[in-house]
Amino acid sequence: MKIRGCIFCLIMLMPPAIVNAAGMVSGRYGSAGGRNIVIVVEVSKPPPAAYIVLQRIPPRITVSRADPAPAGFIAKTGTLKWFIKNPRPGERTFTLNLSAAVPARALSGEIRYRDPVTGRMVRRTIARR
Amino acid sequence: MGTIVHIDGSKIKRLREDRGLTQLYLATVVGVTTDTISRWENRRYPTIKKENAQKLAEALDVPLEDLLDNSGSTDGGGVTSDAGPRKKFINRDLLTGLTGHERKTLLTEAPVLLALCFACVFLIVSLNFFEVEDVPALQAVRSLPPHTAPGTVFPVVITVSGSPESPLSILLRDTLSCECRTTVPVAGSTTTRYGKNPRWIGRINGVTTSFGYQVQAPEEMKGGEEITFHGDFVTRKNTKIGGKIGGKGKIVIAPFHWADANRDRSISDEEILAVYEEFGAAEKSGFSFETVEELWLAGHYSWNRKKHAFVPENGAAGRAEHN
Repeated sequence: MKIRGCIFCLIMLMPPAIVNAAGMVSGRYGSAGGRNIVIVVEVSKPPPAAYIVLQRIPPRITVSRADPAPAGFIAKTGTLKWFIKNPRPGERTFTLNLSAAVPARALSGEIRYRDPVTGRMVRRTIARR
Repeated sequence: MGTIVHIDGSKIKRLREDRGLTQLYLATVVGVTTDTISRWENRRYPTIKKENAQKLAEALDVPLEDLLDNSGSTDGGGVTSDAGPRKKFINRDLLTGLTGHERKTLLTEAPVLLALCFACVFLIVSLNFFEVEDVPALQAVRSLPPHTAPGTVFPVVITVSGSPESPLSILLRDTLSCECRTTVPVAGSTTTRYGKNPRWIGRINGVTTSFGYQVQAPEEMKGGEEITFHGDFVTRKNTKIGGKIGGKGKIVIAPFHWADANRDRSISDEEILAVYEEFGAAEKSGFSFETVEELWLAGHYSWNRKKHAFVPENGAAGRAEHN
C-alpha cells in the first residue's frame, strides 16, 4: 500500500511532458447582417508576432467607417485587410459601418497568422453566430 | 526594504581603470547614469543599495566583499542590515528509534522506492529534454534575410538565449565583409552609426532577448555578391561567458526586396507574417517596416535600379481611406 501511495504521489508530481503553448488566433462575428458588422478576434497566450484580418465586402457596397482603420483595400476582390502587429492576448473588436444592409450569409472573412510551432501560415474562417 | 551597503569609491575607480572599463559601461550594466557612477567613485564611502553593489561587482568581475568599505566595520564588511542567522543541520541516524519490523520494511522497500524515483526522473528528463544535449549556458543566433538589393536597408536580429541569471549585460560585436553602413540602437532612443564593425552593450532580461540593428548594403555591389557576417558576444557574471554568434552568416545581393523570400516580386501574407515573426525585434531598434507593408498592400513591386528603390505597382490594391 505504501509503495502504491508513493507511485501515485510521484505520478501526480510529474510535470506535463509537453506544454502546448502555440499562439492561436480565432475570429467570430459579434454582429453580422445589416449595416453594422462586428468582428471579435480572440488571441491566445502567447500571442503571435502579428496577424491579418480579411473581410470581404459584397460588390457595390462601400465602407463608411471602420474601427480600427484597415491597412488597405483590395479592390479586385473587395477585401479589407487589417495587419495587427504585436497583438496582446485577449479579445479585440473590429467594427464596420456599410453603405447598405448586407445579409449575414453574404459576409465572409478570414484570420491569417503564423503557427509558432510549424512556422506555417494558418487560415481560419471568421465564424458566424 | 533593500539592504544598504557602504562601498569604497576609490577601490571602484581603481578596479574600473585597471580593467580598462568606462563609466558608461558600468552605468549601463548597473542601470544608472554615468553621473551616479562618478559620484560613487569620487565620494569616499558612499552608501548604495546592495542590489546595485552586486551588479557593480559583477561588472568589475570581483566578489561583492571587495567593494565594501571595511574600515571600522565589525559585522561583515559595510553591510548595515543583513539576513538572520543561518540554521545548522544536524545529522541523525534515520534508523534509530524504529522497531525491528519498521526497519525491515524500510530496508525492503527503500531500494524499490529508489528505483522508482530514478525511473521517474529518467522519464521526465527523456520526455522534456531528450533532444537537448550539451546546450551552452548562453548562445547568440543571428537572423538575416536571404537576399537584399544594393543600396537598400535590411534588418539583422541577434537572439541571445540560454538560462542566464538575468538581468545581465552583454557586449555584442559583429564584423561585416562589405563597406556597409550600420545603425545600432544605444541606450534610450538614440542610435549610433557604425561602418562594418557594429558593436553595442545590451541587457538580457529573461531567457531570450533579441537585439536588432540595420544595415545598408553598398550601392556598388553587384547581383550575386555576398555580404558575410562574423561576430561574438561577451558577458560577465561571476565568470566571463562568451562565444561566437551563430545562425545565418551571409546575405546575397539580388534585385528583390529582402522580405520577398520566394523572389516573385510580391510580398505575400505569409511572407509579411514571417518577416514580423523573425525580424519584429528590429522594429524596437528603430527599423521601419513601412516599405514592407506598402509593398505587401500593393501586391506587386518593381526594382528601380537607378534610384536603388522598390516601387509598388498599385494595380489592385491601396491603402484604405476611412473617416
